[in-house]
Amino acid sequence: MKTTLIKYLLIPSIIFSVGCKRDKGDPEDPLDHNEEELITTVELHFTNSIGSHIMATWSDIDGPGGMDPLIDSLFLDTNSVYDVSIEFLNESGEEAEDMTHEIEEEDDEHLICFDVSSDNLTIDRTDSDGTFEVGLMSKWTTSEATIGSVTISLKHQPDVKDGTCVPGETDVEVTFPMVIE
Amino acid sequence: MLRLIACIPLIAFAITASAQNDCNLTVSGQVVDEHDGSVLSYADIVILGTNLGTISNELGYYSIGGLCAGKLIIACSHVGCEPIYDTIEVSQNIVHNFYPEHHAELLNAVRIDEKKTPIRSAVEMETIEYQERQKGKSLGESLSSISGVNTLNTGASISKPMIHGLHSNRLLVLNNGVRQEGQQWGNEHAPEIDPFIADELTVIKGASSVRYGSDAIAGVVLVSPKAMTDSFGIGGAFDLVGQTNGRCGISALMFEGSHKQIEAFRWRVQGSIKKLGNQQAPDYFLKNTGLEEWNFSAATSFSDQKKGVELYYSQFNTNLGIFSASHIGNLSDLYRAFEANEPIESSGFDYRIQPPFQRVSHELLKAKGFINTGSKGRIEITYARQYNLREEYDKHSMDIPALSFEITTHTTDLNWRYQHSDRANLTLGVSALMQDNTYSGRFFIPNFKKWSNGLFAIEKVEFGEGWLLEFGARFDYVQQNVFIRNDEAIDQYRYIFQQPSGTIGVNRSIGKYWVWRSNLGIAWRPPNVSELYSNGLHHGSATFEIGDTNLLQEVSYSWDSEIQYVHRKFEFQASVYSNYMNNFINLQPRFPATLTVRGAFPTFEYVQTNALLYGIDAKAVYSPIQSLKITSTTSILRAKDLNAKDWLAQMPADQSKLELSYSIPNMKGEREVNLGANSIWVNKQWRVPSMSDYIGPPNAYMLFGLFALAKVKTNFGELGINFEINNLFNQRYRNYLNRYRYYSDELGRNTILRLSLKF
Repeated sequence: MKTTLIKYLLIPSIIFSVGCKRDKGDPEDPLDHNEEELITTVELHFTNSIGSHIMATWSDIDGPGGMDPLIDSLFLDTNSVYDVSIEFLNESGEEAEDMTHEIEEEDDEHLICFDVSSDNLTIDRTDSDGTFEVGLMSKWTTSEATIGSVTISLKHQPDVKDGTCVPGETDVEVTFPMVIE
Repeated sequence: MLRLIACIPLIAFAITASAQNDCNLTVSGQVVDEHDGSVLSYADIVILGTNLGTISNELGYYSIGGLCAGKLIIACSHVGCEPIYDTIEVSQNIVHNFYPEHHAELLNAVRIDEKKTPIRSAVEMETIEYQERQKGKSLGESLSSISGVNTLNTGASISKPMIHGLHSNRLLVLNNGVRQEGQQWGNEHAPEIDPFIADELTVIKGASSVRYGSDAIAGVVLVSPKAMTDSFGIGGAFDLVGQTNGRCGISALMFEGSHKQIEAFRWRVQGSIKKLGNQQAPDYFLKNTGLEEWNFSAATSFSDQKKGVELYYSQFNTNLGIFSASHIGNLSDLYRAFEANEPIESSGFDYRIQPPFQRVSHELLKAKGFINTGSKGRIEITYARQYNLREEYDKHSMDIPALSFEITTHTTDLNWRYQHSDRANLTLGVSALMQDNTYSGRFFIPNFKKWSNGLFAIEKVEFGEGWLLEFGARFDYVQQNVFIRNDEAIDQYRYIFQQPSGTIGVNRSIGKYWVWRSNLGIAWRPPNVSELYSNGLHHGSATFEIGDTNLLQEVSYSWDSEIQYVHRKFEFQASVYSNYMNNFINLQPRFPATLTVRGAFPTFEYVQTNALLYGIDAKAVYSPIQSLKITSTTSILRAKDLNAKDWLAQMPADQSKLELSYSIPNMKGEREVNLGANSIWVNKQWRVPSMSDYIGPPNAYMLFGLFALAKVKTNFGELGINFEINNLFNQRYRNYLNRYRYYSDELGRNTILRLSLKF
């Protein structure tokens, strides 16, 4: 009877010892926050027809919450044309990390959308993923003097990109005040 | 006259009305001690839901006549032992024996009272069998047939039980006697329990902190596995469930046995698998709402009359897709999703689960021992280890989870029950909990270590004619150390919470048919770590949530009272309750919105207020003729934030259910057929706080369903066939308690077929 009992208890104890999983971390030694693909900064690089260069930045270095973001205003000339390139950065770490390349690599999953409050500025995307536009490069054409704003959003559209801004998830949505003078 | 005192109070109900109109059948049998085979006289045997009953004679024999054909629940209780509830089918005179686990020493002092309804508790509880009609449903869904119990949903595959409007850290789930510890603070974190392990689900409504410790504010859900088998040999059950919506298949298998060579030894192994694809609203598929689940458990016990040990292991694993349209980047996305008539990202049917998805596993190892101390006492000790891993993948990270939590919990409970007189017993207990939590990936809640200790005493005494008094007290001490990395340094924060709690209640049987009970209780919970520390975006709801590290414990003072009437054709129960909560932790809007690189987010912070929740649950069962049963339940709840003088958010609206069930006459007792229809009406929840939601609550709705049940005896065993149609008219509706109400309609018609074979 003793041996049978041992036999009966052996099977469950094997199951138990094989099954039990362990926590790999130590609660007293927390890991660094590791946010995948955190974007803190949007940079707009403007080049006008005579080649002069201006830059405007929207940045929230400490991420969502905490300190308020720093936002530049866009000062544009009337009746002008600008070539604009957009860069996305992660400046939360010690070294700034350029996230633009990841968007370029997955350009068939991304789309940059522009929403302008005034008719005096039109924005056209000038780059392509092969099928649809991307928007990292664009042409901005101004007409009369005005005050308004430009909202720039980065849409993540894996498998659903159709050239419009409707599908997908919004990764970035920032608004710059704009003055055309 | 002396009365019996039951070890575990239960309300069993649901008597299926029977077929033949002549009520002259008899059930008889013998009550025999499970272990030594001695006959037990003076056992109390009752047919639930009727006033029929008797006691066993000196040779342990009993006989109850005047029974109508059909399915009955027969209860046998004997002093100093657990009552037995068996379901029997009567089509001719039958023999049914009971084998209680009993203490011979107690017999001398026993005299038996006449029959009464077997409710032996001052707290309100309702038990449902996890039977054919529940199989394949999640824990939350199974429980929602009880009035006052709802589910808080995130889509169609995540549902959490909710009692009287409270859930998560205000409701305790006990899985096989062990408090379920995972990341239960999250609204989209459902209890990690395989419903197929349950034989019975019991809901205790109202404050139960004294017995079960912190968090038992709204009540407790007890998931109880089947008792270990009594008969020698190997038996088991096989279940197969198919469901049209989501083209779902579930299969479960169980074997159990005990052997003549080692009488005291019993074992059981059990497992279930489930596969579900994209589910369907009336007009469209819901993209990425598939789910897969695989679970198993093993249990052994080795016990005799005086002592025993039990070892149990279970594992729960799931992979579940998060509805694509609900994973949104910001508020503009949310409005866009809401304005669209159907989800922007549509799909056809697919079993594949794509990001975003959750992967969760939960493991429970439990060892339990008991020993009888003298003739009147019993000591029980339970140790359990739980490990819970939750990984959440979002659309960006395919290979590594965007965030993952690991939590390991050790619990030990020591209880001593002592029957110090024939009509009174005392339970003393201590409990200890130790918990480690770690995370990796995005910050949502920090690492912590938690220790919790509790000490309680509960006295239960019967006196006078039909009175039962139950009172108890408890003291808890909870310490929580939080660790947060701050560059090279690690900041440590220590929280200590101490709280006494107490309860007093009465239960009074009035005549043969009436029972009244009332209970006063204090329950509490410490703030959970997400309420203290969360600081970030909540993707599914497009909100920014801010915790408060200065939160204090939440204390609930509650009172409830219930009246029950059970007679042959008519059964009625109604309960009123009120719950005043001091320092109620509430998520309240804060202005201005938080501006982030993803746009502006409405911001909510955890604030403490005082809250009052009160309401009524009512149920009536009427059988105008024997084969027809009409059941109606209604629940009404009001929940107020007393400081803000406003309603509380996320509370269930008033609702009523009606069910008609008809049983078709038996064919020589070899078949049992039941047909029925049901409907539920849920009002619009217009009692919502102002300025706290983007979109108003959805409209009232009414749904209909049909079901049919049959039981057939075959050569392989008893076969149960169960057919059910939910949302019969493919009604388009949205549910206020579903977070996906912003994005999509609820599920459309669903036809379910269940086959269940017991062998």
